[in-house]
Parts: sequence; C-alpha cells; structure tokens
Amino acid sequence: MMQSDSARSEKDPFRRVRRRGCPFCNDETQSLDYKDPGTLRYFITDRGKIVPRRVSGLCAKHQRALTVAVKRARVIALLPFTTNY
Amino acid sequence: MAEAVKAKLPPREYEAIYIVRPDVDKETSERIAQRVAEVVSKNDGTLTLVENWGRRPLAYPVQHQKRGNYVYLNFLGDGALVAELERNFRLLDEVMRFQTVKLSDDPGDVVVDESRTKFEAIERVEGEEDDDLTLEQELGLVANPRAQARVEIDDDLDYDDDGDDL
Repeated sequence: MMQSDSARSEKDPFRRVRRRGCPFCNDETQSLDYKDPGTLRYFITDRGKIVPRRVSGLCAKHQRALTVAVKRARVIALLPFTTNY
Repeated sequence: MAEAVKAKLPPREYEAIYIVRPDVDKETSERIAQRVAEVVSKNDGTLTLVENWGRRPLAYPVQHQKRGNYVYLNFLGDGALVAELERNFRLLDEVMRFQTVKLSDDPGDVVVDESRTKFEAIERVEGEEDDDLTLEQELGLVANPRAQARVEIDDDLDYDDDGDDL
C-alpha cells in the first residue's frame, strides 16, 4: 500500500521540509549580481562551495545565474575559491 | 561585405573592474586612470560610469596583498577596445586583477553624465595594516576584535576624564 504525503508526515513530522519558491522568481526586484558578494554569500558553503539546488531552493534558471555570478565574483576576489589560505 | 555589416553594429555595453595594488601613491593611480581613459577614447569607446570602490579586503591574497583598490568602469565600445584595454591592464604592474563583462549587445541610447565619469584619486593609507586579523574577521563575518579593543580604549579615556574633573 502506498503511503500518501500526509501519512508520511504524521509518522515523522520533522522529516517534512517546507518548500518555498525560488526567491528570485518571487521577487523581481532582486537579482543575482557578481558585484554583490553579500547576497551571494548566502549561496556558498563556509568552505566557499556553491550550494546545490536542493539546498538553495533556486529554480534552474536562477541556479545557473548564481553559478555564473559566484564564478565571476571569485575571479575578482570578492568571494573565495576555497578557504585554505 | 563583412566589413560593411560590422561597421553598422551598435556599440556594445561592457563593464570592467580592475584592482590596483593597495600601496600605490596618488600620482600612479592618476597615471593609470589617465591611461584607461585614453585607451577608451582612442578606440572609439565612451566611458559611461566610473566608480571608485576604495580599499577593500580581498577574499584571497593576490600577489601577496590582502587588500586592493577596486575601480569599476562602465563603457560602450567594441571587442577591439576590450582587447586593447585588457592588454594595457596586463602591462600595468600596479593592476593586480581585472575582469570585463559584456552587459548588452545593443544598449540603445545611453545618456552620459560627465560628472560620473571622473576617476577619483586613490589615497594611500599609511599604517593601516593589521595582518593579525583572519580572513573572516576582515570580511566582517565574525566580530572584529579590533573594533572591540577600540571601544575599551574609549572607555578608559572616559574614565580618565572623570578623574580630571575631580
């Protein structure tokens, strides 16, 4: 017998992850800019790696934009490539 | 034929960031700014915006420097201008890093505000080095112990002032 989503959440309520939409699709005024390391910092790990989509919650379009922005920011030393300096 | 088509293309919009060494003096920074402006104008480009972001901490050391003076340019031009500009950045020893990004193939009519295309001189800051700070502290990710120390010194001064009043 297949378990429905609600049944699963009753069994283990803490497993349930609240799905939010892509923040950059919801808010047109926000954009991913490589010149703004403050915003990009939310989307890199403390080792400087780009956070995957399943964690960042971004849509495919904005995840691609994020990747380009982070890589550009790294070249111009606004974000680190790694943290072993 | 190909030449004629090329000549009709509108200028593209680019932005460039270059990082000048933190230890340059005012004259050198003015020389760099003059050279950049010269290269852009000689290659039929138009500077539309120049911003000096000032001395900023680098996310990683570049040429053994932990800081750099960031200068942001926005200009109209073609690929030849970008190539010539980047060639000049490579020749200038004071420029540690540069990056050019194309913003638009056809920016349309751009109004240039002359007052915003002036290069600001980079002021040399003496005795500002604080190499004991970690990268996270310099980027402001964790509390800066130096800021804390300053407050403590201020408190001491206030205390002394009170003593003088008595």
